[in-house]
Amino acid sequence: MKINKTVVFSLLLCLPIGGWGVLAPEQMAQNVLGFTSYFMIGASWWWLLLCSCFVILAAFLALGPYGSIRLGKDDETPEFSFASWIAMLFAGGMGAGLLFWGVAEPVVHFENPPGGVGGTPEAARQALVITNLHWGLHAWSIYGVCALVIAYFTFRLGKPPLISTPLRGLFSGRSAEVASTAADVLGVVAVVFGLAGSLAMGALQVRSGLSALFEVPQVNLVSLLILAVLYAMYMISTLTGVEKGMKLLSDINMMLGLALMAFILIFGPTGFILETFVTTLGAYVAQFVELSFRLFPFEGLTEWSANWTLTYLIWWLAWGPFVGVFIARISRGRTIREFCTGVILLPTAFSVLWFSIFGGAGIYVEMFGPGGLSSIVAQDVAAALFAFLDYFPLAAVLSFGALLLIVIFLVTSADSGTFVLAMMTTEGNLNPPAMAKIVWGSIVAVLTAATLLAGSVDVARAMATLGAIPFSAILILQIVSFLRRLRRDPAVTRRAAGKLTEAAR
Amino acid sequence: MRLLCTLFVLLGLAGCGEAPVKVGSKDTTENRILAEMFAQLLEEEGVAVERQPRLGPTEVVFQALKNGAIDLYPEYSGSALALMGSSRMDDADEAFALVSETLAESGLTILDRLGFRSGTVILTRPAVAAAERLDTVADLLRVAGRLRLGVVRSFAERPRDGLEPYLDRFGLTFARVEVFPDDAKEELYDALLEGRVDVVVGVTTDPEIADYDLKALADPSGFFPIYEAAPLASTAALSRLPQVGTVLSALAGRIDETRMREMNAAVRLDGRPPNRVARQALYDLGLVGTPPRERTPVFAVATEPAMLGTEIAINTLRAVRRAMRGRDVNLTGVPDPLEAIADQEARLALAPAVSGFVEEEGFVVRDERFEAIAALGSTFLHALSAADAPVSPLAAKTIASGPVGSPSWRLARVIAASADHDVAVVPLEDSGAGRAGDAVREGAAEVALVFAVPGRTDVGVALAGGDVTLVDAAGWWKSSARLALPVMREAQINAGTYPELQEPVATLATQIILFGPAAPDRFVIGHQGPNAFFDEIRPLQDQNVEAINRNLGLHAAVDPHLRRAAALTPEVNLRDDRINPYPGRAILTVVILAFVAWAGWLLVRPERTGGGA
Repeated sequence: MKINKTVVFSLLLCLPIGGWGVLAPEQMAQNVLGFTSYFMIGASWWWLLLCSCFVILAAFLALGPYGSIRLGKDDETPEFSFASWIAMLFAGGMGAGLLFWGVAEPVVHFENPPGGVGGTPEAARQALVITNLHWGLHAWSIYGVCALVIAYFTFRLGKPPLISTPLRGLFSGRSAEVASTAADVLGVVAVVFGLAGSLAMGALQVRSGLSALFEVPQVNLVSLLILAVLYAMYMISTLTGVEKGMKLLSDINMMLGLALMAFILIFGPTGFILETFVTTLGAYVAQFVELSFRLFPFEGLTEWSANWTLTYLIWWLAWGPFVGVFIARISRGRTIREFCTGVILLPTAFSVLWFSIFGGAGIYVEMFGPGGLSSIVAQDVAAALFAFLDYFPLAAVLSFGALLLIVIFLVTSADSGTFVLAMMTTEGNLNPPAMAKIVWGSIVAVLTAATLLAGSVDVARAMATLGAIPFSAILILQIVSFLRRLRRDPAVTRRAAGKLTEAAR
Repeated sequence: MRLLCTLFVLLGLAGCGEAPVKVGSKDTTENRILAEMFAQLLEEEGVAVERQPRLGPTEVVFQALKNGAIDLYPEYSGSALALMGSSRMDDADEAFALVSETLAESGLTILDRLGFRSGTVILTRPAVAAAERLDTVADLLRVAGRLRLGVVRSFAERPRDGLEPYLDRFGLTFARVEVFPDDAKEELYDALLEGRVDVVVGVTTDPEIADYDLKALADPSGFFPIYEAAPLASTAALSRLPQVGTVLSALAGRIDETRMREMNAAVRLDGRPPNRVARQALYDLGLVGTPPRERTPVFAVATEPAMLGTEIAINTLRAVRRAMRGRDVNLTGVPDPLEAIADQEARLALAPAVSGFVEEEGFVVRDERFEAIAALGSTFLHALSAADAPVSPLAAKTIASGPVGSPSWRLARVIAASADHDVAVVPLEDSGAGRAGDAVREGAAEVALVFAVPGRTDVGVALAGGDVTLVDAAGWWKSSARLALPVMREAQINAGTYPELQEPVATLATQIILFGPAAPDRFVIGHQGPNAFFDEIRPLQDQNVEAINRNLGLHAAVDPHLRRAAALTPEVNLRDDRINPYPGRAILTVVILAFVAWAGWLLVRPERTGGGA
């Protein structure tokens, strides 16, 4: 692995931040989360507006004049099959939260809706729409835009797949150098901490699952053992390359997720779930515009917005750098329209189905069954998932399947993260050397272990969301550069020239 | 393709297969539990079941069975006889045979008896029975004109063995008759205990009889028929699904009166859901393979062992159980209830308000980790000291208390911290009065502190010897300790509360509080996210806190010195005179807008010659 500026500066930044988190976890969490919280509550309008604008931008790119531009040479074909592509999108972009919050979130909104009375049919209807707002188009549009910019510059223009690449077009001379180094370093730092924080929480999730299923004690040693297993798994997977390890795991992940979903659908209240799905789909589409711009200035519920909607947006932004680069890496050869459909529309439709099935069944238990899920969520999210699965036949098998799915989700996220880190630090090598992967994978693991030993989940949360706010500024600049460059794309100029000649005739 | 065909065939079978057995039940708790047991047992044996619970009083359910709206329900031989209009029979077996025969004529089959009798019984408070010298139903004749009678609706409506025939039979006229709904029988007993009625008509399997020590009036005349419970099914349904009879025969003779009373108590007194009570009973009987759901974490309410079984603890348990639908709520005894919340061993804690304060660097401060959810009456400080040389707790040099962390230990520490002289606090092994009395007797301490509701048995026992007495704590109001623990109130333990107590004792009381974990309220950023996890203890949700308070009925509000749950805190709308209460946010907004403007300019500025990508 060649030592370059990005590596040096990133390591120089990672060390003090990591040390701070390990040595003074409370203080670090207080400062970082306090900073993010201040931005969220002080400018809640900005985050919602920004993220909703990403959705509009994605729609414009897909449907507008640039839709047919191919991310690659004009005659290139996609590198991965459609199914594997979608599977990898999910595996890289979504975490185990999909399982935990799949049941928990709709149930929580159902019992405690923002303004309004909990436990009513109206609350149930709104609960699923709100959940989908958080996990649907907004999430995937943020990822989609991040990825599209990188993919365009990499495969269309043949430049390195770095966070900084688009910025170089905006600045010149010395300022370009400074801006791009800053962007790259920030990207690396954001990914390292985003990954370490997520992995630390993931290890705790798995531990909590093991404790719910097999009464494994909830001690640090167990977390470290889980981390060791995760480390071994994601290192093996990442060293075999995206085409082998990642693809295989994603496919397994997808199959397992679909199987679990189908099982809940068939053995749960099937009719109720599908009615929920259809009605939620309609309500989501109908209320999309309203909800995308809905804050609560008159109700005094800005806290609620920050606590839920904006928290999700911040998470998606925080994961933007690495999921973006990863999605870009696997999207070679698709047109912008195809890309937007695949990265935004399909996953959203899948999310609506997923939450209708898990959340719908959860709400069914609350409304018509014995209930109690929402109070378990407030106590222990993992326990809520397993208590929910316990309502189904073969509960033990289901719970084990869910736990396995959680583990694979973690491994695939860590795998793609390590891969992206290696890419970012080797000047955008699309197939980075094994050494880079080993080094970064290990750095992340060490940081995760230290976070686990520091024993504060808040630190993990602080680390995971650390990069969100700075990255959002860079993302805006990337988009500006992308839009400028898009106007001069050969496909566009050719078309314009065609029109001109036509007019001349 | 073959797989798909199989699937369709299976779906077809599932769809147009056998119609499910429709199991109905009356409004009463007992009937609902039994119906649920039938339903679950049938399901366990693979019979599809459709539940029709709480259809109404006996006549309605019976009619539903006759016209085929349901296939079976739990019935009692006596009620069935009365419904058919037959006369009363004294011999149980004969009566049952007659019932079977008569019902068979109308196309109904009564299956094997379950094993218990649930007879009608006339009940009164022990005090009323003693005052009016009531022993048998006939005794009522003398005094009925002065007494008020409480009955449930279904009893009032029965044509042959109900209220009217009963009054006619004994020639009784009560001062007033109050009617209560069938599904709220606890109200009937509450009314009896609170003295709103003097005599009630209950059922022998009612758990309240033993619980409140009620007096049952004997009925030598045997007016009420024998009620033996058994599944009553329509013959048509049994011939359509012959396995139903076989499956239900597993219950024959298996449910005795004690078990039925326990199941009724679990639902009515403890607020547990009937389906889980039924499941547990079937599991205990070895008829189903799995107990009720086990992966749902137990919702524990921690309290000191001495509190277990007290009326306050039971009321709390009932209120919490009803508020936390679907959760298995239990009381657990631990020495330091609040720490049990912090250690995530319990979700709530029932402890005196004193427990909500901790000592920090010599100062006593409110423990912000916990919040008060409800107040449930008070507990009194019992300061035990040697009868021959009584020492007030404020003057003592050695104070014995409950174990470290217990409320009496906290109070002792506060007294020690604010005393002018050196005070040694001796924590004992438990908070009971027995050990406290021993400590005083053996000279381990000059005074021993016990928190108890006046009249608690163990305090009575400790005082019984006469060598230990209660001392007053009046000095408290002059000591600086009162400022450190503002939740103590003046109180008096009256003479005669304990047999040895000749004079009233001025002491301190404090509220018994249901504590829960408090929200740390640190960050706006939420706990959820695509990969988020949290392990910190979250407070109870507002609607649960409200429900617990609602279920407790009328009770005092929580002491204002305690941190109250958000749902109990009145909403304060701080009006700010400034037009912009957050000037910092304006600066943040300017920064963001400037950035957006810059990005906008970068987007529209003309291409530089030579530069750019």
